[in-house]
Amino acid sequence: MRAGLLLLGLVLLPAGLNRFGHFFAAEIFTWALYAMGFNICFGMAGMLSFGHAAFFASGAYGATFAVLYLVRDPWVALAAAMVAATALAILVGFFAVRVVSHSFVIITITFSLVLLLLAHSQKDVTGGDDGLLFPPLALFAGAGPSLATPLVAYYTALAILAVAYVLLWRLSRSPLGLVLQAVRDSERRATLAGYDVQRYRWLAFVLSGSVAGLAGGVYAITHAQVNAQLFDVTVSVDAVIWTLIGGAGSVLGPAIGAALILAFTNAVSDWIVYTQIPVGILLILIVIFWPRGLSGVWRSWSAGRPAA
Amino acid sequence: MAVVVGRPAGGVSEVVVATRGLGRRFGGLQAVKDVGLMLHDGELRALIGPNGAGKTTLINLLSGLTPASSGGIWFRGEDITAWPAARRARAGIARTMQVTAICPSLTVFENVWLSAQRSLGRPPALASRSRLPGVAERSRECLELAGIEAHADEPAGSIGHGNQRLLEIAIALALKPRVLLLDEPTAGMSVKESWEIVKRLREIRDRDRLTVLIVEHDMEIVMELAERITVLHLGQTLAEGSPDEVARNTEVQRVYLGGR
Amino acid sequence: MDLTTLVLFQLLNGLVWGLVIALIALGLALIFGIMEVINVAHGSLYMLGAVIAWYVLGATGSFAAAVLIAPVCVGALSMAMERVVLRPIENEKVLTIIATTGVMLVLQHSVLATFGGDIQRVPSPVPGAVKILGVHYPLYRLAVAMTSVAAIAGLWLFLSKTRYGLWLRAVRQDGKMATALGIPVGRVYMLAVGLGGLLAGLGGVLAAPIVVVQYQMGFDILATVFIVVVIGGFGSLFGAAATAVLLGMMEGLITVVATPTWARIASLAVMGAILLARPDGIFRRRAIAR
Repeated sequence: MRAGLLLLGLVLLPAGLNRFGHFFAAEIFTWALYAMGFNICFGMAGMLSFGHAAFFASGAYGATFAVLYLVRDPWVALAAAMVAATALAILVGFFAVRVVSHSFVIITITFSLVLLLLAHSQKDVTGGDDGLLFPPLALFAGAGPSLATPLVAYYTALAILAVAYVLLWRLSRSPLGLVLQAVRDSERRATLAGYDVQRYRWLAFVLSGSVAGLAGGVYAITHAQVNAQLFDVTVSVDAVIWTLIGGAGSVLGPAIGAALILAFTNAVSDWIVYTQIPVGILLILIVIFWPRGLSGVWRSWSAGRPAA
Repeated sequence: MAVVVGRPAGGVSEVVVATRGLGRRFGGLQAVKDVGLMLHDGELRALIGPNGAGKTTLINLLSGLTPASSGGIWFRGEDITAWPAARRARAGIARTMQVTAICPSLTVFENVWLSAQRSLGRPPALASRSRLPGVAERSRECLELAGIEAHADEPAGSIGHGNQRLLEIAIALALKPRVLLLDEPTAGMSVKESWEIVKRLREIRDRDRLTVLIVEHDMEIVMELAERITVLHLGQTLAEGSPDEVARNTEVQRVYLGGR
Repeated sequence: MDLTTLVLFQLLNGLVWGLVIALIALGLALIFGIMEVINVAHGSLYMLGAVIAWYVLGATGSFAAAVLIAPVCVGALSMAMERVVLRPIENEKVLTIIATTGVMLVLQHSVLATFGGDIQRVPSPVPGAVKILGVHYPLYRLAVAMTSVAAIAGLWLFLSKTRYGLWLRAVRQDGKMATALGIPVGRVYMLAVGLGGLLAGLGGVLAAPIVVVQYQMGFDILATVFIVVVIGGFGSLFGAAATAVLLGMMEGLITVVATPTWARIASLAVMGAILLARPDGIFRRRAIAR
C-alpha cells in the first residue's frame, strides 16, 4: 500500500535532515493532523467550517493546563487536549449543525471569534499574545528523551499522525463513513434511508473537532508553549486552504496540502516575504481553472478513488 | 368526502397504512384536504389525478417529508403523525422521489448499500464495508431487481436519468420496507421500460408481501396492474375502488379519465 | 458623566457605528443579492478604503478628497474582481467563498507589504463637539452619521429611480428573465459588485478617524457584517441596514456596563443566537413554501 511506503520513507527521512529539518517536519505533521481533522467536517460530511482554529487552540490550551496543573505527562496532556476540544465541539456543534451552508460558515466564524476575543481579554488565564510556557516534557512522564529534541518531536508527531490516519481511513471505508458521505451528497436521500441527518452531522463535527484538538495538543507538547494567536481566524483559514489545495476528496489530501504549502512557504521565505499573496493567487487560480476539482470537492470522496 | 365503491379484494387483511382527515396547507393553498386512505397489507394501489391534484403532497405526507397540517396517519396501528421522515423509513416506509434524490458522488452500489446496511442497526464506525457480506448480497439483489446491476461501480451522478429512477427503486427496496410509496417511477421511461418495471414491482410485491402505493399517469398501466385505485382531485379523494369501478365512475370521467 | 448622559452618549456612538456598519453591510447584501456571492474579501475592501484614504490624506491634506477618491478606487478594484475572479464561477456558493478568500489574502498581504504592519492614525477632519440632546458629542461622528444616511438614501434613489438601478433590481429578481429582456447581465454584475465595494470603501474612509488604520482591520468587522447581512435576510437591503443600526445601538448600550470586548462578545453571542433561531433571517421576504 502506498501509505505504507510513505510511512517507511518518513521513518527513514530524519537521517537526511538536520535539526531544523526534524523540527520543521514535526511542525508539518502537527498541522497535517489538524487539516485531516478539519476534513472530516468538510470533505467527508460536507460542512464548511471557518472556525476550526477554536478546536486546535482549545486542544493546545487543554494540554498546557494539564501539564501546568495536573501532571507533567505528554500523554495525559494529549488526552486533555482531546477532551477539551471534544467538549467544545459537542456544545457548539449541537447548535451549528442545525443551520445550513452559509449560516453554518458564519456560526463557526462567530464562535471562533468569540473565543479569540476571550483569549485576548482573559490574559491572566491564557497569557494573551505572550502565552504560556512550560519546561519541555520527557516522552514518558519523567523518563525517556525530551520532547524538546527535534528528533523526538518528529517521531512522536509522526506516530500520532500515522495512527490517526489509519483510523480515519478505516472510518472512511466503514458504514458510518458512508452515512456521512451520503449526508454530504444528499440530505434528503440520507433521511429517506432512515438516517437522522442532524445527529450524524453533529457526530462528524465532534469527531472533526476532536482530531483538530489532538493536533493542538501535539503542538503544545512539542513546542512547550501556546499563545492566544492560535485562536486567530488565519489558523482557521489555513485549514481550508490546505485542504483545498491538497484535495478534500481523500483522507491524506489535506495533509499533503499542508505539507506543500508549509514547505513552499518555508522554501521561498528568503525571496518572498509575503507568502500569503501567492497562496491567495493560487486559490483564485484553482477556483477559476479547476472548479470541477473543487465543487468536485463535494463529489470526490469515494471509496476506491482516493490515494491510499 | 371520498366516494368509496366496492370492497378491498381478498377478504380481511391487515390495514397497514391508514389516514384520517389528512390535510396540508401551504399559506393560503390547501394542497391536500381531508383524505382518508386505507392501504391493506399486500395491496397494489394506484394514486391518480390531474396535475396539481396533490398526489406528491400526499406521498410527502405519508413519508414524513412534509408535516401534516391536520389529521393523522397510522402505520400498522401506531400513530406516526408526528414521526420524522427518517424514523418512518426505519420503521418500514420507503419511497422514491419524483425528482431523484441520490448521492451523486457515491457509486450506484454504495447508494443502495446505504439503505441495505440499515439491517446492521447503528452503522459501525471502524468495520470495513467489504467485510459485511450480508449487506453486499442484499445490495446486489436490489440492483438486479431494478435492472441496473451493470452500473454498480459507476458514480451515481453519471448514469442516465432513467437509470437514476431505477436506482431510486433499488434504494427503496434495499430498506426491506413494509410499504413502498412510488412517486411517478416511470416518468421519462419508454412504454416498454415502464411496463417492465411495474411488472417487476408486482413480482416483488408478491414475493415480499409489500404494500405498494404508486403514483402513475399512464392509464393503461394503471388499469392493468393496479388492484385498487384512488383518484385525487384538488387535494381531495374523488373516488376509490377497483379499476372497473373507477373507470365507470362518472365524476372521474368528467374530471380526468382519458390519459395524461 | 451621569448615567443618562453616558447612556445617550453610547447610544449615539452605537448609532454612528451602526450606520457605518450599515453602509458596509449594504455593500455585502447587494453583492449577495445579485450574484449569490459570499464576499469574504469584503472586510479587505473596507480596509482598503481606509488605507487609500490615509494615502490621499498624506498626499493632499484634504479629507474631502479622500472621501471622494478612496471609495471610487475600491469600487473600481471590486469591478475588476468581479470580471476576473467571480464571473467564471458565479452562483457556486462554496467556490465564491474560496475565491474571495484568495482575494482577501492577496489584498491584505499586499497592503501589509506596502503600507506596513503598523497602526496609523487619521486625525479627525472635523474637530470640535456639539451639544445634542444634552450631550457634548463629537462633530465628526455626527458628520459620519449624516454622510452614511445620505449615502444610503443615495443608494435607495439609485436603485429605485435610475435605469441602472432598475436593471439591478431586475437581475436580482430573476436573472434569466432579465437576460431575455435584453438587460446586459454581465455589466449589471460588475456594477453591483463595484457598488458594493464602493460602499465598503466609503465605510472604511469614514471609519478611519474613529478606529485605527491597520492592515488587519477588515477582520474585525467581517464577522459582524456577515452576521448582520444574514440576520437581516440574505440579500435584503433594508434588513441589513436595519439590523446594523439596531446592533450598533445594542452594542453601544452594553458598553455602558461592560468593557468593549465584552460588549462585542455579548453582541456576537446574541447575533449567533438569533441566527440559530431564525436561520433565514428576520426581514427576509417570505420564501415560497416548498
